[in-house]
Parts: sequence; C-alpha cells; structure tokens
Amino acid sequence: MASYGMLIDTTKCVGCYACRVACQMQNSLHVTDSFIHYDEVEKGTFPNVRNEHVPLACMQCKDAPCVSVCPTGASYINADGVVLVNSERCIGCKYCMNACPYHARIQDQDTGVAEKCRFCILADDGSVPDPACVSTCITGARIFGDLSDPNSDISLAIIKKNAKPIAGDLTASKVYYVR
Amino acid sequence: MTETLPWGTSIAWYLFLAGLAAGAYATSALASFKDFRNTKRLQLIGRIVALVVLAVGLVLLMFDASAGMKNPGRFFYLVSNPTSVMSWGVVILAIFGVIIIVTLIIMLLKKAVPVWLDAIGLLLAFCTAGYTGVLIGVVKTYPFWNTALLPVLFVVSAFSAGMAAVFLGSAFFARKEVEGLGALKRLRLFLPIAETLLIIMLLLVTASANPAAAESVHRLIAGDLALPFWLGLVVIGLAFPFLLELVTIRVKAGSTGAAAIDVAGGAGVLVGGFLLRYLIIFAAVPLVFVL
Repeated sequence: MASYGMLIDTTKCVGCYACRVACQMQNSLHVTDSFIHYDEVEKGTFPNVRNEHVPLACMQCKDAPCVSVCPTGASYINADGVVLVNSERCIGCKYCMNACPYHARIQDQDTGVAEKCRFCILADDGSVPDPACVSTCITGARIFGDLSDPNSDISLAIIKKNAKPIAGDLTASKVYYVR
Repeated sequence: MTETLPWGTSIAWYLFLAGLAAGAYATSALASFKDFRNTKRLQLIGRIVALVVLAVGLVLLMFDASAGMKNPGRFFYLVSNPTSVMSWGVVILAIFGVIIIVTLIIMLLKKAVPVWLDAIGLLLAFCTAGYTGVLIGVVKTYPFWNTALLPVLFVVSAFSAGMAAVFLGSAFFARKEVEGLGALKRLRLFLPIAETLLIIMLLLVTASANPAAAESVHRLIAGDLALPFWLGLVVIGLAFPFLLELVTIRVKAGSTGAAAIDVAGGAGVLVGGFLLRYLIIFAAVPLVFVL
C-alpha cells in the first residue's frame, strides 16, 4: 500500500522532450499520440526572462474527476494510488477526457480506449522501477516515489523544494511541481 | 490555448434529441391529462416522435463511443458507477424508453393510458432533459458548463422543442386536435421568454465566474460563434417563434393559417434547440492553471 507520486522540477527542465519520446516508446504509442504534453510560459521581466517548460500528464489525483465520471468503472485507482484504465471495460465515451482539467487523456487511435499515463505500472513485476520519463530525464528533473513514506527521496524533495501540485488543491493531485 | 474538444457535433445532436424526446413525450402526456379523448392523434405523434428521436440520439451516442462499438458487450458496464452522471442517464433513459414504448403500445391498442403511468413518464421526461444538462454541468474543466443553470435551461429548451415538434407534426396529421390543448398552447409564448432569460442569466453569471468562462461568453456574443448565436439561436430560434405566436395569437386553432404558423414557428424552435446545445458544447474554453 504505497501512494505513488512524482515531482517535476521545471527549473531543471531544458525542454528536450525526451520524457515524451521515452513514454511513447514504453507505452507503444502512435507517433502523433502522447501521454505527456507541455505548456510553455514566459517567466520574469525583460531582460531577465526564461521560457518555462511545464510537462503535463496524468496528475494521479486522489480526487480523480476521470474516475468519478467514468460510467463503466473502467477508470479506477489501485491500491497504490495509481489511476488506471481497464481497457477491457472502456467504451470510449470520452467523458473522462472532458472531466480531466489537465487534458491528460488521449483516445487510442486503434482501440478507441481513453488512455493516459499509468506510471509505467504495466512494467511492474513486483519491483517498482522508475517510469520511463523519470529514468530518461537528462537533468534529473523528475523524481518518482512513495509519498506515504516520509523518508522517500520524493517526500524529502517536496519539503526541501516546497513543491506544489500544478493547480493547488483542485483534484488532490499527487504530481508536485517546482517552478 | 485551442484544443480539440473531446465532445463535438454528434454529442450536441444527442443532447438535443434526448431533450426533444423528453419534451415531445411531456407535451403528449400533458395533452392526455388535459383532454384525453380529443387529442389522441396528437398524443400518438408526441410518443412516436419521442421514441424515434431518442433512438436516433442513442445510436449517435453509441457511434461516438468507438471502443464500445468495437466491443458492444461493454455497453452493459454503463451502469457500474453510481457517481457518474452518465450512469444515471443510462438508467433514466432505459426507464423512460420503456415507458414511451409501453404507452405507445397502449395507445395503438386504442386503450386509455393510465394517468399514473403518464405521471411517472412525465417525471422521467423531466429527468431525461435535466440529466443532459447535469451531464456536462458537472465538468469542471470547462467553467462555462459548470453551472447549475445549465440543466434548468436544458429542461426549458427541451420542453419548448418537444412541444414545437408535436405541433409541427400535428399541423400535418392532426390539425383539428390542437384546439383541444387550450391554454397549453399558450406556453409557446412563455417558454421562449423563460429560455431567453435563462440564457441571459447564464451568460451574465458565467462571464463573471472566471476568465475561461468569460472567454466562452465573449466567443458567443462577439467572437467566432457570434453569427450562429445571434442569427441562429436568438433570431431564428427564440425571437421569430415568439413574435410569430404573438402577432397571430388570435388566429383560430385548426385553420390552415394556424397550421402554417405551427410549422414555421416550430421549425425555428427546433433550429434554436439544436443550436443551443451546439453552441454551449463548442463555446467551451478550458480552465487555465499554468500561469
């Protein structure tokens, strides 16, 4: 019984998009589909400006709108707090795609199933490897781990860096941002 | 941020057709309460319209759910989640559909539909029209939808559209029976006013809610959706049927003139009913939180 979450430090992100490519590879997505997308925000005032890349994907919400609206029960939260989609139950009604404020869901071109980031849980064989986006990140901008363990790397980093969910307490998100 | 919306034209059609079915049934049931004997064909028209448009709407909905179309057995899972408004909708539609069919069969057998059955049907018609508003009303992503006014607006518009469809059908197949409706017919003056006021309230309230909703309102009244909003919804869908009804209020029911008014005004109301859903769906602007 863990509570998996992620920390994304946008001050370390260089905008190389390697996380998106790694995610597409890991999850065998079409080249035009991805679970990760980016918002770009200009920060600061001239001449001290920078272009902030904010990678966005499923926020693994504890109060997940996609789960509460899903009519078939295909969307669910597993024992470790990971929001998952049972692709055998999804009818592709796209209600979850409307309900998710983060636009984290995409419809699989072949199956019509509304898919999204699953923290690479499908690769899980008892051990819990870092998701592909974390292990591939060249600057170490992403940390994955158990939020329920106060001594995990991610729990300590959240406190140290004062990381916060992207939209406050909108959906009790478990992805924390340093910006 | 322009994103393609998950729901599009076929969902707008569905929301319209489900509301239309509810309104047509409600008109038929109310006609039955008012004057059962002399409005039989009109009542039959209402129930047939309700059944046909509901069926068309549901087929559209199923085709939009592509993973379900590939595996139709999955549609049985649709009632699995008590927190999903879509699950409630499926239950409501299932019961409503059965009631439409049962009352239609009773009428076709030339028997009287029990008042209690039509009363339950009326309640389910109300739930059907209301749920189409709640369905998108609970979506926080699009603040323009996220208001309790939406279901109310959809109920009023559904009743208006359903009544228009019944009068339109009756103009061809049951012209004399419209007389039997008496005051019910006058709702056609009241409903467009109520709908207009609700639209004004919706725009005013949501425009002040947050920037995303304000942008939706702007798109409708002065942006890319302004033409269908003003010409389609306001002029053709609301003002035209209302003024037509107003200036011809003394035209005798059952006359050719009255039938022509029912057809022209009814067509306007139906155009407006569809455009209302279409515009609300497409005016959606998502919440922005990455600033």
